[in-house]
Amino acid sequence: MDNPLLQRILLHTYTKSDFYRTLDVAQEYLEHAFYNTDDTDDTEHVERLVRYAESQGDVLVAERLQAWGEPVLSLFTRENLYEKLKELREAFEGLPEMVLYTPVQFGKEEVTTVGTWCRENLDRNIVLSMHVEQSVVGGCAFVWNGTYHDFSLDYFLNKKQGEITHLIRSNNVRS
Amino acid sequence: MNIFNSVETLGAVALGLVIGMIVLLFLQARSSIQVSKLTFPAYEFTIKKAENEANEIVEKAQAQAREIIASAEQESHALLAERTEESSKDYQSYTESLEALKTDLLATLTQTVQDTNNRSQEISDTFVEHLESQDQEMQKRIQSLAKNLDEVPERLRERSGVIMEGLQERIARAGEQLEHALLSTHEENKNAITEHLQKGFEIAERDIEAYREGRKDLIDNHIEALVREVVRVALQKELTRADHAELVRSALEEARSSGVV
Repeated sequence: MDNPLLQRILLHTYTKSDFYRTLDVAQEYLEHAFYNTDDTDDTEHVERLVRYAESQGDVLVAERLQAWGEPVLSLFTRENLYEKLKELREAFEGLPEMVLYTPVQFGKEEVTTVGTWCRENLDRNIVLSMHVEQSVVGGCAFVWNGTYHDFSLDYFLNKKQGEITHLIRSNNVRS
Repeated sequence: MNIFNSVETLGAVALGLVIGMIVLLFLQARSSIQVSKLTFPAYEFTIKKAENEANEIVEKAQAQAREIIASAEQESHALLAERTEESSKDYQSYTESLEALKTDLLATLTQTVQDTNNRSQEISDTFVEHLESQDQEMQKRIQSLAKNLDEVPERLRERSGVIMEGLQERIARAGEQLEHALLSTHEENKNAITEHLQKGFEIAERDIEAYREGRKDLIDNHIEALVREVVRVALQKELTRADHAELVRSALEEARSSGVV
């Protein structure tokens, strides 16, 4: 991947939903700033954009925009806004993706933990598509290269099936 | 210039040919009229002569015809008289023949009736004789049957006594044989029943053991399912999001070590 803008974004963005939510808010704000006001100042967007996101009640997006920073947002101008957005979306869609099923909804720290591990061990440009599935407690399930894999509690218990059975019989649980 | 090629010359030649043809037609019509005038009187004379000759031939033919008709009438009257006479003779002969035939038929019919009466009488007499002889034979048979019926009870008593004696002897022999057979098979049956029961007990014990093992396996599976469910509930309730994230990371590590990713 040779898109420096996307590289900058990926430093702090690990999931598809995070990317699209942040980008949608940025687009909404930039459209307003470029086309609906008399303000001709096209610089220093970060501070105003963060305030706009906070006013929308979306703290996570505000943090993400703060993380993206001026190097990302200053690239958008009145003339190239939609062209740059389109390029960004197309480049993002081309990244390797893992569909990950977790037993609970993860916050920023948990997503960072899992995302960092994936980028260090699987692909440095990987993005996650995360879904909550309670039945995969004790681990997770995921789709990788079009194949579904279950590494939840059932997987580990099946792996230890012999030991569990032996434990039950050795403790004379049954009559 | 060739004069035959000029239009005026050709027109003059054509006009001359037309005029010549008209003159020829006129001469032809004129000669036909003159011939007709010369031949008409001779034609009328010939026709008149032919009519006279024809009238003469017709008159002669009529006279001959009248002569032939008169002659034919005379001959027909004579022939009619002759045929009438012959018919009278034939009728008389026919009447006589019919009378003779009637007389013969009457005589033959009378004789036939007489013969039939005689034959009927003979048949009736023969039938009566036959019935009388049959009646006598029947009476003899009835008397013989009554005599035999009087002898039946005595014969039945004698015959039944013989049969009962034979039957009692056979029953006694059969009882002895049956008793002997039962005594001889009693021991064999006793041994077979004992062996059969022993096998049945062994099979039942094996079935009970298999059932016991099956039930134990079922209980084991149930216990394992309970353990899984308890662990699952405990994990869902007790773990924090950070713990879940750590388990997810461990699961991904396991997937990586097993070569899935």
